[in-house]
Amino acid sequence: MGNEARVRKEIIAAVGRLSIPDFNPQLVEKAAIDCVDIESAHSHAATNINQQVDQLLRQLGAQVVVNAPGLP
Amino acid sequence: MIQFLQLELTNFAIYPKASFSFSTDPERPLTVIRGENESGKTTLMRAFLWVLFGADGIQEATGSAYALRPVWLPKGDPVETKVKLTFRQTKGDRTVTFNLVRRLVTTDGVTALNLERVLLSRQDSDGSFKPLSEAQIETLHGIIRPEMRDFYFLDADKAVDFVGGTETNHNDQVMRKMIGKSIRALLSLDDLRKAADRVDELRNVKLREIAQSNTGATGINLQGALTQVESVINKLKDEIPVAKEAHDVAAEVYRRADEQFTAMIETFEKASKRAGELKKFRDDRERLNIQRRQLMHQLAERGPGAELAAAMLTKSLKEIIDRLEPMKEKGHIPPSELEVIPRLVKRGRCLCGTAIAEGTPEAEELSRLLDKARKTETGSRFLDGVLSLATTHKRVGAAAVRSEPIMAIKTELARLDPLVGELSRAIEGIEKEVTAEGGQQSVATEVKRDVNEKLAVRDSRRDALQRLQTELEGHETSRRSLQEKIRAAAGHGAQVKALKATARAAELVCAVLREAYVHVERDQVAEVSACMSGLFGEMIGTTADGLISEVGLRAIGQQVYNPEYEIFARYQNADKPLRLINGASRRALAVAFFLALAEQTGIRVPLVSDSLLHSTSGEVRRRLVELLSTGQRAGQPIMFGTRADFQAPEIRSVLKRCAGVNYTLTAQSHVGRDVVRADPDRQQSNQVSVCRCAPEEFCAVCERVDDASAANLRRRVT
Repeated sequence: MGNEARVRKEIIAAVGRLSIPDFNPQLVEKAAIDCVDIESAHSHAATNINQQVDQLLRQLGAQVVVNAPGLP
Repeated sequence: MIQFLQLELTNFAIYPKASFSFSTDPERPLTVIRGENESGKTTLMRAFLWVLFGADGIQEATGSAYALRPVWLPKGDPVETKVKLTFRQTKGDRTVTFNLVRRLVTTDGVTALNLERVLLSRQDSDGSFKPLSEAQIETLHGIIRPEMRDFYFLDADKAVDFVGGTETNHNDQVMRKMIGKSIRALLSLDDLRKAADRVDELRNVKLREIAQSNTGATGINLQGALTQVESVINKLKDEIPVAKEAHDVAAEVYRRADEQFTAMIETFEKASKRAGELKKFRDDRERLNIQRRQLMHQLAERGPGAELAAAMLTKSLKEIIDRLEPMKEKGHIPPSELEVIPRLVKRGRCLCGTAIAEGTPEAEELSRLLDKARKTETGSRFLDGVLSLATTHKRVGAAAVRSEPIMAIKTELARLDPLVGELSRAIEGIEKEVTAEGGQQSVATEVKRDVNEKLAVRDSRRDALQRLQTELEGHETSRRSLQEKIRAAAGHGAQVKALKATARAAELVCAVLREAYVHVERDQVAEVSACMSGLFGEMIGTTADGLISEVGLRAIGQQVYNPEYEIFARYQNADKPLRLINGASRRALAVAFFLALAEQTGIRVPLVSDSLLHSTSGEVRRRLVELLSTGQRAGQPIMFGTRADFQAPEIRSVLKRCAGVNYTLTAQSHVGRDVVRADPDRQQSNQVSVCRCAPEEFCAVCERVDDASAANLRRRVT
């Protein structure tokens, strides 16, 4: 098994092991995998990576705000 | 998979111009580059590092072009150093070939390396190379990652660093640092770890932003302040109409008083003007009266009083005669009848035509004459005189008394009398007006005082109204400001909520990534460790009963995430300190570590090794060469070494089977010592010549003393 596949497999397994209230596990999986992909695709443009990852986390956060309006 | 195809050097250190093509034959993947000491092997390694990684690749030369500049050129001569590497990347069925060219013009040994120019081009389907943009050049480091530099290019010194350095200078920290770096780079977990760390850092950023946002005013505080301000505004809005009405009333009262006063002032002005006229009329009348009195005096001097009276009573002559004649016929005219004269005069007129009215100067003059008559003559005589003159006048007519001087006086009197009359009437009218208005002066003063008081009241109320309005405006500004802040706070609240959600998402993603990281790394390190132990055993030939029964990798410390790793060796079920492991085993351990990493991660890249075979011998060296040469574990092997490294028959056997390409480097500075002759193409004595001889071959370029007579060497046919 290649590393990429192994990492994806372990990310999915980690989502399964961790208790994730409010969040859709599939979206968390996708966000985590996207974070690694963004990192792999840009080995040097750190600012750009930050922006992309930040955007990704905002989107995931927005999803939980919609689903859990009582979020403190 | 990545394979180097060709490396071209131009004016690089001791290489004037050289080209190396590397074996890509899967059956014979090894490229052997032989060279004795000081013949250019390390310089060739440096050319690889520079073209791929620039100044970072040759850290020992950072800030200096000494390592690159042609050694045969004097200082000051500008020259361009150029290295071109052609390589290809295969992913699945797709293979892409790249040309990477790095250039630098130097005039001395200290030219800044950041002046170098890089060009990366990619081969298109038509075979031509198209330059990539600067941004795309960044992708080079995604293909050949800088952190893998020590895996691509491995020399003897670096190799022993992976096991803590040399035997005499062992340092576990060096080993752990190198091992950790390689594990994370080659297991391709760097991206996973960086992703987790980046997400964690972004989460911390969000948490800091949330903490900072909580220090500001809250929406609740602002709402309380707004309620207070609105209460004041409402109170003011109630007070202002009352104040405005009071002001309007005061203003109206003042306006009316002022109008009245203004009208009064106008009247005064008018009266003042009339007073001027009155004075003028009085002056005129006085002047005329003076003239008239003078005339009357002149007239009086011209005849007795009786004559004057008669003359003045011309129109009453008949009545005088009719009244006095019977009395005279009776003997005399009684003085008591003197009173009849004024009564007659009232109805008559003076000869000059002036009406003789009671109270007029003419009447006064007549009264004076009558008084005089009473004093100076008897009344009878006076009346006789009047009767006589009246009779005469009646008889002879007015002409009798119209002697020229008298007529002149009378004419003048007749002119003056109407004028005096008109003036008297005008004066009488004006005096009536002025008398009526004169009483208003004191009233005006009172009115003016009242107007001023009303003005003060109005101004006071106006000021009060303005204060209220100003206060209202201030509070309305405060209200708008508070409303904006409340809106901002509401937006801010939403922002904080989003920040919290993002921070929570980051927390989860980070936990997932680190959990995944720990599992992937732990599993992979265990696999690498097992593979490493097998490879080491294969190279050294250890068994369970040998001096080293097991080697491998293990995490140290209690840290689950991102722990430190170290190489361990065990002997008879106990750890054997690495510092006690000898030179050959140390290199074998390092190579086993590399190859295990490559095998377990499936990485297939060129492995350029320099002088790795030193201090190994016999079967260990054969197995080491075997492992490095086949390319089965690491990828494309490119091996540097001396003839001594390759001369053993068992090594030659491996090379003969695995080497697809051979090169020999010959330093021309060795000509005259162990190199037989100079390269006919050489330009300078301190350059390097390259030929295609294998380790067991020699040619006209690389032939050394005794090569021709050596039984195990042969002359290469060129």
